[in-house]
Amino acid sequence: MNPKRSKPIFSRLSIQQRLPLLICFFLLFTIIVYGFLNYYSLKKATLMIGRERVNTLTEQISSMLGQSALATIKYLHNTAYMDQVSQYLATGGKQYGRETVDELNKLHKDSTWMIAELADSTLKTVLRSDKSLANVPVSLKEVLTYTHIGPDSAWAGKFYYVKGTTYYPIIASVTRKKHIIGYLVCWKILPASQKAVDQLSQLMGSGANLYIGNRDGGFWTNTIKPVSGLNFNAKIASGPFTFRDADGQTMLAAVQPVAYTDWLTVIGFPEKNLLSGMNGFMRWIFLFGIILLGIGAFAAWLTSRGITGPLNKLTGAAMAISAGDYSSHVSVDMERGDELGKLAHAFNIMEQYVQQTYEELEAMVDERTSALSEEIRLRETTEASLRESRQRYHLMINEVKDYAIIMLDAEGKILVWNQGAERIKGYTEKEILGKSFSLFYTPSDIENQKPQHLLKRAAKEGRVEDVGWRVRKDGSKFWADVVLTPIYNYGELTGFAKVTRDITERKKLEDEVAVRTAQLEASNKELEAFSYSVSHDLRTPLRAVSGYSVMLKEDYEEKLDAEGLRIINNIIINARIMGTLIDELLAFSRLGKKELTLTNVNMQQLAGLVTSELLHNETDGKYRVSIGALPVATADQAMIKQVLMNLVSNALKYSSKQADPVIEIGGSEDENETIYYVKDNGVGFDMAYAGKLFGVFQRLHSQDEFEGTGVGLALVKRIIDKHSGKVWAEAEEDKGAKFYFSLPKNNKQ
Amino acid sequence: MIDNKVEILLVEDNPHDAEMTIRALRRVNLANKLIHVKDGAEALDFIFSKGVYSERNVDDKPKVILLDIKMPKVDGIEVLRQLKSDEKTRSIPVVIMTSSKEEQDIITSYDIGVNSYVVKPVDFEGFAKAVSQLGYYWLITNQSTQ
Repeated sequence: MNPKRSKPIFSRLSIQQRLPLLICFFLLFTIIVYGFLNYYSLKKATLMIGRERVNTLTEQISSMLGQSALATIKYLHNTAYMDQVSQYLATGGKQYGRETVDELNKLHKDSTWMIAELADSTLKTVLRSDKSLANVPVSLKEVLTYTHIGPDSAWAGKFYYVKGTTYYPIIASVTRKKHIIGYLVCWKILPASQKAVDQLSQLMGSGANLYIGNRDGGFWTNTIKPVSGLNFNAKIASGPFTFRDADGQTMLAAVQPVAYTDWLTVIGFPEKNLLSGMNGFMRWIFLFGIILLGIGAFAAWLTSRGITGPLNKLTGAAMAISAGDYSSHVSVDMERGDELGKLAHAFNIMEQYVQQTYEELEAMVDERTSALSEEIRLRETTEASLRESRQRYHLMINEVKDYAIIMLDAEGKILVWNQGAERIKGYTEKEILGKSFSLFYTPSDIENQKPQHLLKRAAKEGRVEDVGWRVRKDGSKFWADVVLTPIYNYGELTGFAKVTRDITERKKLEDEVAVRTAQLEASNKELEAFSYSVSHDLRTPLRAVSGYSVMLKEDYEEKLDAEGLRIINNIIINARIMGTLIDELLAFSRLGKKELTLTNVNMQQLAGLVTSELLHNETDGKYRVSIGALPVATADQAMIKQVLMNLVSNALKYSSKQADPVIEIGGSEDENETIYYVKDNGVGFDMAYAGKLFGVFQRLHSQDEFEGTGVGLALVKRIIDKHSGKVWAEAEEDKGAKFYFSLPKNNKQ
Repeated sequence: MIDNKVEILLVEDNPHDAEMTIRALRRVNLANKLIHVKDGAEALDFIFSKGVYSERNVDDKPKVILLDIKMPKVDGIEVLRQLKSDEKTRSIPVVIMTSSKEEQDIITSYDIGVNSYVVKPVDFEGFAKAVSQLGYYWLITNQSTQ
């Protein structure tokens, strides 16, 4: 488990859980330590007892085997000691042969005696019992290399395992005069039956195993069959030792040599058999430990509950208070004399105080809440309408297609981009947001830092308008009208609103108009030059014509007849008409370049002046002229006088043939303009020709009927046009005409 | 006052206009001491006693100069400028007589210091009337500084 996490987990446990756990832990620890210590000391003692027992047992068995061997050896030794045996050997088999064989036959006491032979000192077999069942498994010579037999002695040799049978020899020396003259050799097979082994094993107890083997450790048998895989060195093993047998179980064993033989005895107890009693004891200890642990845990739980119960109660009460449950009386009922009782008492006092404070606070909160909720309601309403208007505003801005409406931050980076901007500049919102607005400026503007200057000026002056070339995404240019307005938030500059209009079309039109105007001015100049030449060069010869015809008439009147006089008079009259025509034409054309000098003109006074200037002949008495209340005009005094002059003189002229000519001059005004009229009861005209009235040299009457050049009304129209006013007429043939003209108020020209 | 003293200097390139002017002045008997020069250069020679007029006494100043504007060589405006920029001739009354009603000419003339400006009427009666009135005014009514 992660050590970093284990600690928090334990600290997260409640005291009620922690206390029993702690107690259980210490109990368990004690039990385990105690159990282990006991186990090991007990094991040690048990094994020591086992070792002593196996040692003793081995000594006993070994001694028992030694005694058994000794009995057999003595028996053989006695035989070897017989006279007939030594005589037989001494005579080289010539005497006592029958007697010796009889003795040899006596040696076969039971079925374990397999062979009885007599060998001479050269170890050659010289006699053999009749009862010998098999051949000698191993030669005597070989046996004697391992087992030394002195004179007049006997010994049991080591085991030989030949063809499934375990043999062992018993050898006795045949001695004559302290010299060995031959050997009596008997071969026995290991006689043990399973039954005998089991009996022995039972005698030894604890599942003990008996092994007999050669002293050189080369062969081991359990007396029934050879045993292999005994994992110990019998030569060095002395006293108790342990080894693992062929089945792998640990054996506690002891080894002892068997007297009068070349044999070793080993007895082994399986260690687990020895320890089984101890293990039972340990199980009891363990069971007892579990019971103790259970009791301990339960006791700990009871104790901790006694502590944490009241604590939980206090916690619950404190939680209830902290959760805001002041309304019901929360207190801890605890009759205890210990620290917890004192704590509960202190808590109850505190709770009362808290409840009291809470009630006071509650009243205050109620008061503030009602005020606050009213404020919140008001704010929500305001915010909702604000949000709505913001959405509307965004929608509106986005939907505007004719204007690029862009919001910039204080550094000129683009924050908001509407559809109009996309349409005009070609960038989509996605690719332009966050970029600087200087992207729209021409390289030379960027070099001159125009975008930055515009931002500075806008911030300083509150608004800046700039008209000039801008660059679209595809590199094409357009003529733009840009308005930059700074946006402030609590006095801090947060950005700019930028509205751009593509006025390339307008610019084209303006350029065209400028070209046309220049052309027009040029043609006006030409016209002026023409006027000048007309005024000077045309008038001069005409004056000569007029002058010389007058001189002719003055100097040669007596010599001319009536026809000559009529002709000369016509020349003079026509020269005068032509002069008038030229003068009026010049006046008309000069108006083109004349600047208006607008003043407030007292039209009523002016009308009176004009009328009196025109009505100076004696015959003019027949005219009845009435002048109404004329509003003040904003006009060029000299020009407007010319207008009145022309209109009134026309009225006088065209009503001159009436018996009772009546001229009426009137006017009116509204918010935007002043209107004047001159009305007569003269010949009037057919309204069908009204369109021709104001053209130059256009006349509706012949020269014979009424004199005139056809320039007067054209001049009127030209003057009124210059004032941005209008002129029109109403008439009926033989009933008179009414000419109107209007002048705009506050004429700024 | 000496009789042969020139009273009117008429500067006029057009002989017909000059004839009509002289005729109008003669009608009212003012053309006796009139001299007619054909252009501006001759007018300046006469006034400053140069060229063909070098024998003339510079101090004999005409009582009035009737000056046409549009003339070959030196035009009337130039003559007027030289007259009015010279101390000795500045006081001579000059009347511009022209066919032109060009306002610029009128303004320039008054700026330089012309004493009168008359547009010649086309018809002879009007012309004669204007000329005779001028003659009366400058020769008889107006008291010269001299």
